[in-house]
Amino acid sequence: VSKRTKNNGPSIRRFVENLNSDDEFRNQFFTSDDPVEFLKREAGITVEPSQRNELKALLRSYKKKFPMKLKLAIGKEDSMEIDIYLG
Amino acid sequence: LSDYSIYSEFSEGLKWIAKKHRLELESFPKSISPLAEHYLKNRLFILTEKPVKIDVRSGMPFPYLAYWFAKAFSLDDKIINKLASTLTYISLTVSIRDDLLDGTVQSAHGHVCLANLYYDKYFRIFKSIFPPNSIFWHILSNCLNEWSRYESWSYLFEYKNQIKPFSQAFLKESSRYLVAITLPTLAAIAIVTNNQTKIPQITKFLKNYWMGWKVVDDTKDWQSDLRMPNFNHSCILYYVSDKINRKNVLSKDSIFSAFLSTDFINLVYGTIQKFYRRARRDVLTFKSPYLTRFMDTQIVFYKEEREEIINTRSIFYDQLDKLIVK
Repeated sequence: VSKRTKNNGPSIRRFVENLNSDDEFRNQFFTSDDPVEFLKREAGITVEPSQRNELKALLRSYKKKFPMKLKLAIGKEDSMEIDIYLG
Repeated sequence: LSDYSIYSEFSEGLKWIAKKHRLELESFPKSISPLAEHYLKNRLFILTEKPVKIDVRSGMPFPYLAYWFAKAFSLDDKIINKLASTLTYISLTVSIRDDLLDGTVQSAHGHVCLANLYYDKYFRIFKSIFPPNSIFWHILSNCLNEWSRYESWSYLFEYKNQIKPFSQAFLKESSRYLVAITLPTLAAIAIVTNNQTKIPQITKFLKNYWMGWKVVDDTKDWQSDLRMPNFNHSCILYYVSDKINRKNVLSKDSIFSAFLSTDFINLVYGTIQKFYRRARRDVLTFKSPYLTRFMDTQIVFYKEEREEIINTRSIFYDQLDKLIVK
């Protein structure tokens, strides 16, 4: 466990708990222009500047999941070519 | 019956409907045919040039509901294709009117004209089947009034915090037009097969089904609904808007954030399950393997979708935890 992790430990737990339970707090995190700065300002968690891109990539990858659509089972019985689709 | 065969069994009927639309398109005046072509090929996929592939488990009520009810009521006549085509005409009419009301169209008069042309075709099919004194006309005029009620509500509605967007009271209003546009076709099938006593049960099924479907639709369309007047009455957007106390402008990020809450996920998917299960119970009366399968597959599909979101949420938290602890 790194020195920084030990220092951040309680803050990280609190931060993740807050994200889980506090809708407004989570919303602020998601809508902030700079999530790294948000972590530092609101949760006292220091993240290396090099991790900024990783954090942004994580948020981007999560957002790409929406709208949630289960993958088409192309070629399987569950998927079909349809004659008419009205939405 | 498989999930697939409840649709594929009626492929010939669908081809008949597509051919009818193709011939009509060719006969339309030049002033309206490009617009009609847009709606038939791009807005709705009635005359598809490329095959559209879809996971049938997500459910396709239009126009298959007509075929399933026809089977349930033993209607084995060519009239069924005509009646099923009314669901395509009314879908076209509704889509054109929706675009018109959203203010996204260039030629308002052209849209009114095309919507009227399709509504006329819709009306004439019923006129060719039912005598003037049929109970059907009472049902159709009532449905037309219900559709009008929806349009007025949609314009006048002002969202207030005390309204619960996932409540039956709200979803009943926001899905009212869907019942109004599907009931005439299904009622017609009931009447021509002497099953008019079952119309109240059909109505009950449609109400529950469309309330659940409205939530499903809102889970798919919330990104585009964000740009629409009144958020297109999206239960997702109204709910999240309340949760963030309207201090900020509602953004996509707020909705992404909301889907990290298990309470929110359970509310969304629990509401879908509640109404779909009621709709399933309602169709049992008709003893139709098609309708039962239709509901069963969707209930399972959206149960799996909920699990997928819960899983996505857990992965996100795990990765975030690892990243900031690294």
